[in-house]
Amino acid sequence: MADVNKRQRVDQDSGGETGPLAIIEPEINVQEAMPSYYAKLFPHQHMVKWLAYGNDGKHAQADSHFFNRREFCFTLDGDIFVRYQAFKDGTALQEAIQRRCPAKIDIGPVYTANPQDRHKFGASFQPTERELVFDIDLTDYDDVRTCGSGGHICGKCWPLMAVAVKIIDAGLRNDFGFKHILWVYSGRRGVHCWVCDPSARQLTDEQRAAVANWFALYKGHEEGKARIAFLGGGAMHPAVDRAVETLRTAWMETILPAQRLLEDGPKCEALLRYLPEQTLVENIKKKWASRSVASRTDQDINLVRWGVLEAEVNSRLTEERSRSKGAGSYKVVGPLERCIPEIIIAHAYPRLDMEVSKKMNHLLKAPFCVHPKTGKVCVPLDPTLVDEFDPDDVPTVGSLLRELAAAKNGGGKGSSSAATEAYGGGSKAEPWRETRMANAVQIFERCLLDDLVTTNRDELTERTRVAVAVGQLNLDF
Amino acid sequence: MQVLTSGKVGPAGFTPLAGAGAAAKASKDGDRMLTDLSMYTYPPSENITLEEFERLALARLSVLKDMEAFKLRHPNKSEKELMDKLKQLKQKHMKGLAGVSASNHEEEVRNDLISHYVLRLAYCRTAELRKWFLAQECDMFRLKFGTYNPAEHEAFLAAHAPQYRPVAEKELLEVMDDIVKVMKSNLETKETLMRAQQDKRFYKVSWTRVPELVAQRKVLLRGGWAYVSRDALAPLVVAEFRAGVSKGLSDMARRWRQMFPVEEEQRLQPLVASLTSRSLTADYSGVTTKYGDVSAANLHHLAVRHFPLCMSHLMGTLHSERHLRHGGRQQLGLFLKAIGLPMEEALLFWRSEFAPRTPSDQFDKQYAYNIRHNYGREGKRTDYTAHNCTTIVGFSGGLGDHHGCPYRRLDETSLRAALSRLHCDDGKVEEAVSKARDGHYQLACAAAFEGIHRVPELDVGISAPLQYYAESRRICTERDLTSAGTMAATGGAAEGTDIGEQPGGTAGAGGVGDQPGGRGIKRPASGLPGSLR
Repeated sequence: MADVNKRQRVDQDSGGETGPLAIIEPEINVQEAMPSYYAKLFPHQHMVKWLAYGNDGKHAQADSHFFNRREFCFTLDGDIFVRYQAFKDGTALQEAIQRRCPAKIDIGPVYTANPQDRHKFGASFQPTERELVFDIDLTDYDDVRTCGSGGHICGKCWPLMAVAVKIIDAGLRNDFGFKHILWVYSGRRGVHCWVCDPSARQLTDEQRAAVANWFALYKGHEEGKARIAFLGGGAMHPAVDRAVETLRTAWMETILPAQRLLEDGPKCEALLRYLPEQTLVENIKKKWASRSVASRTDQDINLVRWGVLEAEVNSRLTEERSRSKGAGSYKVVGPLERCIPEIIIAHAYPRLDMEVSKKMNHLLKAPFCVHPKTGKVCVPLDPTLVDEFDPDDVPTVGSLLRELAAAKNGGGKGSSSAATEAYGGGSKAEPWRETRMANAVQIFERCLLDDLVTTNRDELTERTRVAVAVGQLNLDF
Repeated sequence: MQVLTSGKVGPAGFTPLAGAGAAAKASKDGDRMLTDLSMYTYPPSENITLEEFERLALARLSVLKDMEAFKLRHPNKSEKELMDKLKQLKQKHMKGLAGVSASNHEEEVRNDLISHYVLRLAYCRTAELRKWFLAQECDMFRLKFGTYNPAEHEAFLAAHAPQYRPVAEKELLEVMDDIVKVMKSNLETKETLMRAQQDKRFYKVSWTRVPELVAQRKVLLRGGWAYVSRDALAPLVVAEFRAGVSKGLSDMARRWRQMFPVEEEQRLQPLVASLTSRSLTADYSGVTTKYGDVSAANLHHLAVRHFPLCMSHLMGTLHSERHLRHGGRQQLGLFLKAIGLPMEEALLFWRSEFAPRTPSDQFDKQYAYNIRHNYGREGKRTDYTAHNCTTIVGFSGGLGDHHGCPYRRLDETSLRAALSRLHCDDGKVEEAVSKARDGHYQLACAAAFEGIHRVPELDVGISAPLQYYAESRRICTERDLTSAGTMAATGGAAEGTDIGEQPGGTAGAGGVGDQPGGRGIKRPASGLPGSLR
């Protein structure tokens, strides 16, 4: 069969939901491919190792029922939602997945008891643990992106996701002290974040809401402009300050030119509305129209125009400040000082889906699921390499199966067979190692699993220490 | 001997309870703090006698109730004045219980802890009781915590709230700029900024403890630590205190049945249950002997001068309508008995009051038996005690009933009229009316007392009509003595002093003093000394 070009860049003007990008090979039916996917490609062992948090071992303090109290939700073919699935151990989970081939797997919280026994417990059946999660979706940015809308995603709007990942990742690590953070491509048009620190898993709903609010600056729309939760006062919170710095770089390097926000059009008009003075707007427009600006070819026109805009605002500021001995009337100076950060924040600051983060019992799609429409695999992202991620080049179930087929015939490409040998025939049990899935799993290991193993061990050791202190253990050495 | 540990009362034996293991013991040592300010995280664990159990609880209850009354009557006192009042109350009620040395800190601490927990037990049962107790305890905690200086704050936090860690100077230098930015971004005033920069005492706490501050970006976060200034600290600590006590109360309520083992059902449980409705003031039964001149003849005179509004209102209605319904008869009748009206006089009084509408034989048939019963001469011969204010306020009545507390029952016009009829000072009438409007009936009665007798503030609140009567008579007796003394000195008339509108230095007008009032009555037994209307 013809090797269909996987990298079909979506034309800028097509804003369709799925478009030709989605289906690599029109013949592949994603749902039909699921059995093979779960049999050969889904990394069951790694998922279980993650979700067991060390309780699957032989340690004396391991809670053998921990895994069994975790809720899974399967979405079967035909949108059949099956909640409160629970499994004794990894093998049971794997077997169930392979048998039922869910179109989507969601992960829920760990409850006080096996979810399948929930009716026995009544009101005392409550969630006890759950990772802190975030969901960022490009549809929330439709008002500030020009390359498409809805389920559209491309290299021009990906930078919005990339900068969101960077800001939130930095905030989680530096402000909150979290260490075990996993970012996952959501399969179509966004990213998910899983914070797996033990302290994060214990957070109450109120604390989760607090974290989400810490990152929330965008408070809805008003008069055609985004409302930013700025109190002003001449200073921004240091966390916001740092975020704006990150934003500025991304703004200049990618977002502004890629989205062509300052080229004539409704988006440009909307942007100009953030400027507090109409005369300012007119001056800027006049300068844009002038030949010296319009004829510049050394820089992207958007960047040129932005430079003009910034210069005009700054000169206005200087003028206003000099008016009354250096300070200027606060009523005038304040909005002038704020308008540029406001523009950048309104157009690029992360827009979280608050509801996802606030509740412990919110179900979220598991990593390594396959998106039913696009066939793309929800692969983990490395936050340090997020700029280089190409959402159009994500492995799909089709491409992976093809890789598998190719590997089987003709002994596979050079590197894969070497890998097969390195794993000593383990490819039989983990055929995905010969495909691009191996890279994805490697990111998973690097960003989450490796460090988590150490933390899990520490947790168990701590539990032993406590148990000994309380005198419940009788250790005979 | 009796045992109290970990919220669970053990068997009433002589064997000391083993305690809840190492944790409880460690906490007891940790309780040896510098002062009696505590978060009450760990209950006491020792044996005490039943008497001490009760005494400590009542002492603390008195402190809390008096403090509440004081704050209600003086809403604008400064913190220092409130703190002084608190110390005074504690001195009055809780010191000297230890017996040996009143300034012994350890004793103070121990009493504080025990009394708090006993009151928790008593006040955990209903939501209303819990709310009251929580409010009073939180106020007291806030007051005490607020008066500490920085060093004391640090010591307290180190001992009781170690989750708040002081920020070392070196670290503070690094984060100070960011902290200032945070404060500016939250539109803090210049004064707050300056104070924060000069005070240089900051605390860091795990962000999970201050989610509300995190949600509004009101703090600096670094690596999971939230940095708070000392000023911002107080509300947080109080909030934690409140949460802790509240949780303790609900836990206790939920596990109520487990609180008491079966043997204690007859002993401890009724005691604890009664603590909330106990009257805190002294017994006024000595009144009958002190002022033994009560008879049917001078009742009306006494009513005008010495009866609280509830009783004088009943007297007035009785006199005008020549009838009282059952509730009114009971309330007034028991009161008259308590002030020392002999039974024969009572029968005489009621008969004569009812006479125009009720013929004598009908009176005998319908009412006499009841009066005799009240005095314990019929039926099971119980000596009924007069009602206290709490009970009276709680009386319900329909149209035509005049019992209950008039500050609650009467509308404002009638109230004002009634009080002015009693010659109450106008300012005090207004005060009484407004207190009644706010639902503080006993304070209204106290205000009326002050207005009628022209005394500055009563130290103790009115908690029973009998108390009102006793105080009233005491004050008037003292005034009689003083004025009789001065009159004697100036050779004036023996009696007939203008009681009430005293010129010069009323000895009794100093609130509650400790002068013995009962030096005998100088007035003739049946005297209406002079005109007193």
